[in-house]
Amino acid sequence: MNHCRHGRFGAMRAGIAALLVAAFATTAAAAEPFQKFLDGLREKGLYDSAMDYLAEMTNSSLISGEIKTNIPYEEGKTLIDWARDDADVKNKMKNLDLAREKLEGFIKNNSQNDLSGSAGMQLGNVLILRGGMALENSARPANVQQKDALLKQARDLFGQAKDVFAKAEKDYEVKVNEYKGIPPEKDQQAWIDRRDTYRQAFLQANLYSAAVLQELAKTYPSGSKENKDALMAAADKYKAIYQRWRTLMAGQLARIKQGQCIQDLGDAKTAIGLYADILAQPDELIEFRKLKAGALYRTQQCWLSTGQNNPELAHKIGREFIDKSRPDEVKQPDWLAIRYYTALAAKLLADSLPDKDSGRKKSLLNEAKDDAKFVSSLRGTYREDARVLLTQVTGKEEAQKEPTNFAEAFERGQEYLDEMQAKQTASRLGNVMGNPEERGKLEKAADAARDNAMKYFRLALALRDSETKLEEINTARYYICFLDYQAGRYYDAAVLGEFLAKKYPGSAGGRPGAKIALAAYLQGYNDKQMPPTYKTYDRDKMEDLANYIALRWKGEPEADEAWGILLSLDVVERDLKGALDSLSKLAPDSPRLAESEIKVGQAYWGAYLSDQRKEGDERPPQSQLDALLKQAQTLLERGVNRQKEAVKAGAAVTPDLVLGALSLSQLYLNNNQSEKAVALLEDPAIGPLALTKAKQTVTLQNDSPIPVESYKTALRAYVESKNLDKAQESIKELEDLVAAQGAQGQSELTRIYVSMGRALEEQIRSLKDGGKDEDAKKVTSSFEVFLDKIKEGEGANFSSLNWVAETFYSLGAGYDAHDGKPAVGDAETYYKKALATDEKTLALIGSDPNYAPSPDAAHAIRLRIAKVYCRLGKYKDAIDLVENILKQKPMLVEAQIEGSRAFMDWGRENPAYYTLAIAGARKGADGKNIIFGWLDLARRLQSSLAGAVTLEPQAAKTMQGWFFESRYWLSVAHTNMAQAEAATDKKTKLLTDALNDIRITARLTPVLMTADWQEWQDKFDAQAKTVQKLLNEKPDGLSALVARTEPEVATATPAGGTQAANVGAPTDVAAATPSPESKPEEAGTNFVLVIVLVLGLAVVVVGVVVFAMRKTPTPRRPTSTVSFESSAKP
Amino acid sequence: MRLRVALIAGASLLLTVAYAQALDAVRRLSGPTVSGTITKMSATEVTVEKKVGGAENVPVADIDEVSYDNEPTQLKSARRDAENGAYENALAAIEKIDGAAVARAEIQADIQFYKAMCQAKLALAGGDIAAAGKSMVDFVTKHPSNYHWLEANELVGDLLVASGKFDAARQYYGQLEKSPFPDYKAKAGVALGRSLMVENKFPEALKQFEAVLALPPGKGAAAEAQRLAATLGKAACLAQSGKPDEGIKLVDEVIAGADAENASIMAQAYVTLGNCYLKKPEAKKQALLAFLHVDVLYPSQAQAHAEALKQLAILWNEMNKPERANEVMQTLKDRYAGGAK
Repeated sequence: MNHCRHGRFGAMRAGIAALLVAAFATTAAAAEPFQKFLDGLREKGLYDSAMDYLAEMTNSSLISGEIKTNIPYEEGKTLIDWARDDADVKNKMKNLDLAREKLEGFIKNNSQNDLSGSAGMQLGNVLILRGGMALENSARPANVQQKDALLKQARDLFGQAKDVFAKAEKDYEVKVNEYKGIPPEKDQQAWIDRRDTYRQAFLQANLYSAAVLQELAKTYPSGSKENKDALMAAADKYKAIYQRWRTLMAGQLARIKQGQCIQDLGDAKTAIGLYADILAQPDELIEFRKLKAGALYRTQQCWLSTGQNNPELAHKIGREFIDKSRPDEVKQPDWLAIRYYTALAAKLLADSLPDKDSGRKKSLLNEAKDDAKFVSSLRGTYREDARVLLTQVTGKEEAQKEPTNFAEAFERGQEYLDEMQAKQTASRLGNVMGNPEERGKLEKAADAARDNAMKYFRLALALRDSETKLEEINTARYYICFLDYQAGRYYDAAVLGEFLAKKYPGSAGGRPGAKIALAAYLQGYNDKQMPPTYKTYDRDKMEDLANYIALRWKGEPEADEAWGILLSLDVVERDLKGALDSLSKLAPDSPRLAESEIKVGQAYWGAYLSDQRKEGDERPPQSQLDALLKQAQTLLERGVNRQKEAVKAGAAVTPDLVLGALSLSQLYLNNNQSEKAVALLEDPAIGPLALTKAKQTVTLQNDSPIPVESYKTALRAYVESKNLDKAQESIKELEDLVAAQGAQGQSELTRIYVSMGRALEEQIRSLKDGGKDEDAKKVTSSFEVFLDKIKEGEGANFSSLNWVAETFYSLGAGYDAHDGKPAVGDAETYYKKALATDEKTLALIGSDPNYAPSPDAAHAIRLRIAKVYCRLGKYKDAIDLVENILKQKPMLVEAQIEGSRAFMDWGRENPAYYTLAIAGARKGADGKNIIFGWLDLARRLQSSLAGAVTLEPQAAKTMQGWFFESRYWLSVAHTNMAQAEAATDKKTKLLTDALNDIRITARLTPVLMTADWQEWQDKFDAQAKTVQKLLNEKPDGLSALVARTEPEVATATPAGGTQAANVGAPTDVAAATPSPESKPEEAGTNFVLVIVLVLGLAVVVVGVVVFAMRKTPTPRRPTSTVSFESSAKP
Repeated sequence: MRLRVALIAGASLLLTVAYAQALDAVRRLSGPTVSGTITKMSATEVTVEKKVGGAENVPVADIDEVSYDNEPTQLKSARRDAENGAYENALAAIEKIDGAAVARAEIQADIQFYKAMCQAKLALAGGDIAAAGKSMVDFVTKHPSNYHWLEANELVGDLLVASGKFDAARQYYGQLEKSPFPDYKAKAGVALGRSLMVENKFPEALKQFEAVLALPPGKGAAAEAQRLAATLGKAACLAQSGKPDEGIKLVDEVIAGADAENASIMAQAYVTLGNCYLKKPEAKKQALLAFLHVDVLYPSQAQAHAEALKQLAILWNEMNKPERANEVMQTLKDRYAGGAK
């Protein structure tokens, strides 16, 4: 495994400590079992036991009060050692934090204690460890973009550590000076002990102080002024230590370190001289042999450097040292370094010899080969270099042998892992973003490296033996888990991640394994290929893991993340109770709390909007609706205000926050609190409108709904608060905003107006249903004034008249009782105003064809007129109008739908028209129905969906929505026919057909049961329950209906639906009898449907922003026209 | 000076002798390795003449591994590979041994055993049962005094079960039952229970496993392994008898209690768990994840791995993941010649 930088520093620290102990051997031997036992535990790496022991000793009578006082210091020290050895980065950070807390507490309470200075230095160690982590992270290929920030962080931390050690040096110097001279006769031993303790601490501070400068140098580019300055300063410090303490080991160590700094500065000659001071010493003492080995390979480096170029000497000193080495030394890192440089020197020397010295040359090369082979066979810093050297010496590419043990396979896996990350990073870098070919190559190379990495980590596990450490096995497992996830093998990743999290939570892979497992199950849950019936399992596993994570890593970010994921799922699944429960599990100071409150608040708001649209038995009682609304408001206000405070404190404004503020504004409008809505929209810090106008980054992301939704909401808010100038200004700005989209702008504007109308209609209904007729009147009056002003104003363009008409229509719909009878009262008044506006628009188009943005725009206006006709009871006029449109545009789906809907409306007066709604009517010159009817329309849509490979996702979604709409109304038509039927058998048959319409729809299009089509699921569910009740069956709705495996009725056709001509012929003067269905083979042959977007796409719920982004079309549609023509695309 | 050299040479000589004497090593399950010279061996006991302390008898039930002085290095690595479930590697290593250069009978027997054992393990995961059976029977016949003899009998029994010869298998398992070791008696009980399961005699198999569980609890890892194996057998029987939930509960307990690194038990546990879930039509995904544990965590357990792969191929298809199913089928074909027996 690679040694990390702080690991090396840690090793150096351990070396310093060992040398100091050796230097003061007489005083370091502590008499208390407490210290001995504690040191023993720490030495063995049993840090948790050491912490337990310290906790136990706090109240024990076995140790003195003086020792007890030092326990926080020992705890801090133990935690630092633990952090240094811990592979889990999170634990490492946690322990360092805790260590700092303990040590600061100790210093604060024991300022006169001898150990308070050491405690201060331990605090310096905390900083160094942290700096080392940042430095190490900066070198990782994956962090290339954060490199500068990480280096700065490391620099800051080392800078702080430097100050800590400088202070310690100063403090201990005073103490050391107090103990100069001859020991007093009284308490002589105590005096000596104390002197040595201070000297030891002082030396320690000196060495740390220099070492931190050396680390600081690494945070600057090699050769830069800052790098050189830091190295020079470190060298000076080491020199001073050596000069003062040369008789101690610590002084000798400082000499090597001084040499190292000088060598790094490029002065090899001087460095050689400094190392020579060490090499000249006797080497009986083991600790000193280690020092000498370090000095020797560095000397070899110097001799081999460009300036010195003396391989002969480098080889000689290396060979001699190796030959005298003890068996237990040869595999130690510094000895391997010596052997590598000896081999390198031998090779260079051989290369420099003339041909006549072939004998020596051969011997040197053989020597180089053997040494290089030895080094390359062992794990260590020089392994890779030795491999390269071996290839050079043998003159051929040494075929990389397949690993034969765990370590080799693991290392090979790591090499490929590094390569994968480097390639992935490169593919994401700016310079290849515009070069798809290059990016593709890099991605492919990254994938290949990933597969190889996986192969070798697996091989490593297969090659494990009893010597293999469990931690290494688990690291390999974690890498495989990570790579499986990267490769999209989610369940494999889940198995490993969960295994590590539950069986080895303390391992380096435990915590990230849990996160990967959770993410993997989420992927499984979202996998559209996977049969939906199996999703419960993923859901359960996520819940189980979230609970586990919350318990295991309580109060830590992982727990919050887990609950955040579950909360999102609850929201998607519309499990409001679950979402509230997940929300309650978040820590009170969780950074996720505000966004989660907003998310759940939006879910409540969405549920309210959805429920208040329901009719009849499906509609919850008003009290329940009020409760939903109240909860939505509470949560949204809490979340938005919490986020606002965070923004004030410097946090960034996020899209979630702005969208939350928009939802809250819309909720205020719904509650007739337009002033509150305006205030929030205009809030300079977080107001969606204010941010949009200021062109804040958060509003400028591609496809962000914020700008448009802000203007839409603001327009309503201004109108309702009678701020008409600002309302007019908003219209203008909205139009400008949309116009900037180019050709699609007009259709987008239409979509926006329709969605605004829909929201307004819902608001009026909501107020009326809530018994707030006065409030509803206030809203409509405000709009009426404004609309009249626009309509009558000069220069009203097509868009503004279109909006006026749509809004009048919405006001009418808001008052419409929808009881099957023509509209009366306010509804009739507003419908007529809509009609008048549309007639005015058509007249203007008549006088100036350029008045409309496109020739098809007039169809949209006419379709709205047809709708108004229906609501005014003028069904025949409506159908005539639709027929005329369809004669020009036979494939205009929205006209087809409007035609069938007109028959549905008419059917309420005469049920015979339901047959025409189902089967179509109005023969064309070719003898076929001009208005297809629900059955044929659905079949054609289904056929188009199945065959249209070129459809864009949005167009396909629109078409899918129409399909569901057609099938839904087909079922409603059968139901209505049944209700008008007196004969029981016929009634039952029709109701069975109605139920089959639903079942077949769900079977043919499983996508209906996904979250994307929730709104249609709800509609089909309600319809299914209605029919089941009429059939005296258990009203268990859509899911149960789909789950049952009853055979469909024989008349079901492949595209769904049943024969419809079961009731008497209608009296429609234009349509003689319902025409027979189109033959199945017609579908998909003469009707290859391709969508051409003419004006707009579909109605989008506007009440809540999150819904606006994911909801499906509803039966009410814009007065835009969408046609499927056969000419646009192949 | 001469005296010094002589002393060094003498010392070296002594060292070498001591080294040679220590080369036979019997690694015990319950205690330290016994080193010395193996002077006697039977199907139930190995006698080691130690350098100091005289002879020590190590019962077969307590033997983890035996290695011999001057044995070929390939045998060492074959033994390690076989213990890790890398049977193909082990066989490849054995093939490289120069049999003619091996004089010691125990080593020759060891080579024959590991060869037959690897063949048997691979055959049980989908290879040539007949050939493997022949090799193992040959070992049983020729080496009745080898410490592997009981294990060889068990393997012959397993191979006979795989080829549907249940009565013959029982005779071989009977040898284990006759042994003086409670662990081996339990082992025989588990093997018999498994053979009954293959015969679809689930109530009888259940009784067999319960009988093993009713035996006085033994000590040590081997006894615990048999207890867990019997529990898994019981769980499988319960699932097959229409009580999958009871089976799942038992397996979950085994998984929770067993050492996660005990690949043999864990792999068997997850296969059993998967099979229990397969008995619940609504729990296909649970079954998939259970089998996936074997593929991901314990692929060294050939027989369990092959069985898991076979089920995974079916389940991945049911999950609309034909590409994963094909991948699994390919592994099954490449590693186990098509599937578990």
